[in-house]
Amino acid sequence: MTCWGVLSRAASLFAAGIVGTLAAASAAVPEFTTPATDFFLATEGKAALVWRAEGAPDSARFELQQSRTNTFPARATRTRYRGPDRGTFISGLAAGDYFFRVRVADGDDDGESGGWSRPVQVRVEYVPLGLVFGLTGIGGVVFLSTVWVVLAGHRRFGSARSISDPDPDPDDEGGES
Amino acid sequence: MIDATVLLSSSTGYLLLAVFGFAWIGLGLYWGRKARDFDGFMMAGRNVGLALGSATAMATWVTSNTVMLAPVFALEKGVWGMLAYATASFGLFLFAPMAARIRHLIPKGYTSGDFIRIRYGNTAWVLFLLITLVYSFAWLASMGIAGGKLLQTLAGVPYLHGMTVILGVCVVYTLFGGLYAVIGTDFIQSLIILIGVVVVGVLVMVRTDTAQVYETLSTQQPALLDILMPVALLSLFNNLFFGFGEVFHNNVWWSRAYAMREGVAPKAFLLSGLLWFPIPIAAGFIALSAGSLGINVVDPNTVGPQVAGAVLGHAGAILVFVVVFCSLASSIDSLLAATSDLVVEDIYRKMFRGSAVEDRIRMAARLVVVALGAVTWLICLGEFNILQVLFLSGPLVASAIWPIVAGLYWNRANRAGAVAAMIAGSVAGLVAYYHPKLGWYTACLVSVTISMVIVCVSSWLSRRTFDWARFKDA
Repeated sequence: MTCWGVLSRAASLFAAGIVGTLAAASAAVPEFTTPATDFFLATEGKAALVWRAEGAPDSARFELQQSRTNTFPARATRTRYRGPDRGTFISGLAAGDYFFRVRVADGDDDGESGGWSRPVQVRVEYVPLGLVFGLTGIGGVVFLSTVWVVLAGHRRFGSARSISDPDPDPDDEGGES
Repeated sequence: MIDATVLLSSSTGYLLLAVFGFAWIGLGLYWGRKARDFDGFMMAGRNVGLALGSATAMATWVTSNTVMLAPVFALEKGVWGMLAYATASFGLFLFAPMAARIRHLIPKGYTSGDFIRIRYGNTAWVLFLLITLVYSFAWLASMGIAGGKLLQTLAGVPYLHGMTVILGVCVVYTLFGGLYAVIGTDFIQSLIILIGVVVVGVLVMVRTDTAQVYETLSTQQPALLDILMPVALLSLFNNLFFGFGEVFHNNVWWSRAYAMREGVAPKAFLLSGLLWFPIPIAAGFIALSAGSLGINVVDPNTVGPQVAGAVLGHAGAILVFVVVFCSLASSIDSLLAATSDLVVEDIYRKMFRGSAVEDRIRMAARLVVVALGAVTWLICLGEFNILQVLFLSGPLVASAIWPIVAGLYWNRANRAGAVAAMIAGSVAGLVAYYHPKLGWYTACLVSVTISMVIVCVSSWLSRRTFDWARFKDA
């Protein structure tokens, strides 16, 4: 084989490799493994999303989209993540429904991308504010009471006074001997 | 978008482990030479001054949770979450006057168990020992697990190796140096932690645009800026009471109150609280910057080191590694020493060997340190979820808050009320922990509330008063 032939052969193999990689990447449609089902109730406004893509190379990059409807209209959809990771942690979502989908994306935005996964729905539903205010109010009362006992006790006994109570009751109850 | 995969090589990780491990053992052995008698070993001679006292309290309270969980709180619960974590310093603030009272009542005391036994009797004492031992093991295990996972994340050191080295180093220098070694190494660790966290926090702030951070949070994570975010509000008081319970009941803090020089303890605890307060806020801010820096958070438990490493590069990862190592060691050694004191004093000496000579007691203390380390290592093999391990003990310790506080200042607080409060508070808190509507972030709040009501009612109904002079006679 001539030099030209060797070079041509090498070039065609290289090109075939790239095409093959792109083909494999674009054929791989990811699926979410976390959450395990298509619907997830998030009571703390957070969700972990993990996906896998059979057939996608290790160097594959992914695009994760978030939308408020499962039709993913352009005006209500934004890219949440683009990169090589196969998961992300979402937090701080306001109450409501969110839809996520992921696909294999070429590193170049103009390049080929794979098909979208089935969307998962994350519903953020917080504990009712009435319950929150009630428990917070109780917390405030207990906190202030605890502080009051300590500070009042410190003022009463101090560090320079006798450890004996000023008005001891002779029928005292103490620790068992 | 910043590449968030900057970590240390495992050879660097092992080298750092070796350097700090041997350094800490050497320092521990050096300071431990002062521990010539039992009081020296357990109480550092009861002569610790303000600087060392503040440093050891602050360093002990800065755990791997402070460095790792505070960012998680911020990432999941926003600004309120960050502040909620910082309320753990309130326990130190409030313990300051309590430490003065403790020293006044039992100047030659050794453990928190001493107080409970004299104040409320044997039943309450046994119950209290159960609570504090469960909590101590939970805390020790959470440190061991956190250490192994962190070293694995930061430097690829296998979990078993990292966890074993962390525990092993702490056991060795605590074993030979006692509380002198613990407090001495705490002083250095506190300086490293303070400087490290401030440096990382400042550098992250310099590299980020605060306005951009706010803009990103507003659009992508709006609930983190919501002052009415439900889960954040719930965690505010829950975390505060968990902190109260931890500090008020655990022998780690009581032993320091006993070890400090007369009059030093209140100032030391106040100062340590002030020094500790900004640390979770700085750590939390780092996590809130992740979105604006384009960092993809995959595992929230490692968001702190992930952002520090991504922003500061190799040097930042080393700094985080060192800070985490110091925060782990400063807490594990304190727990080992204090829990050993409790077991030896309250169980070995008070229950079995009342006439044991000092050398035998000191040997027992050393054996207990080794045993604690071994049991903790075995628990850590399970690699449990750190949050679940630690926060499950929250309702137990929260139930002890009011028996202790009322026991220190109210002469009508009584045995029956204390026992009922600890049992009912613990049970109610555990029910809340597993309740689908309430959840883990209400458990401590429920526990302390039930406990407080029982203590207050029983004290109000009691016609007997406690004679404080009993502490002098004991």
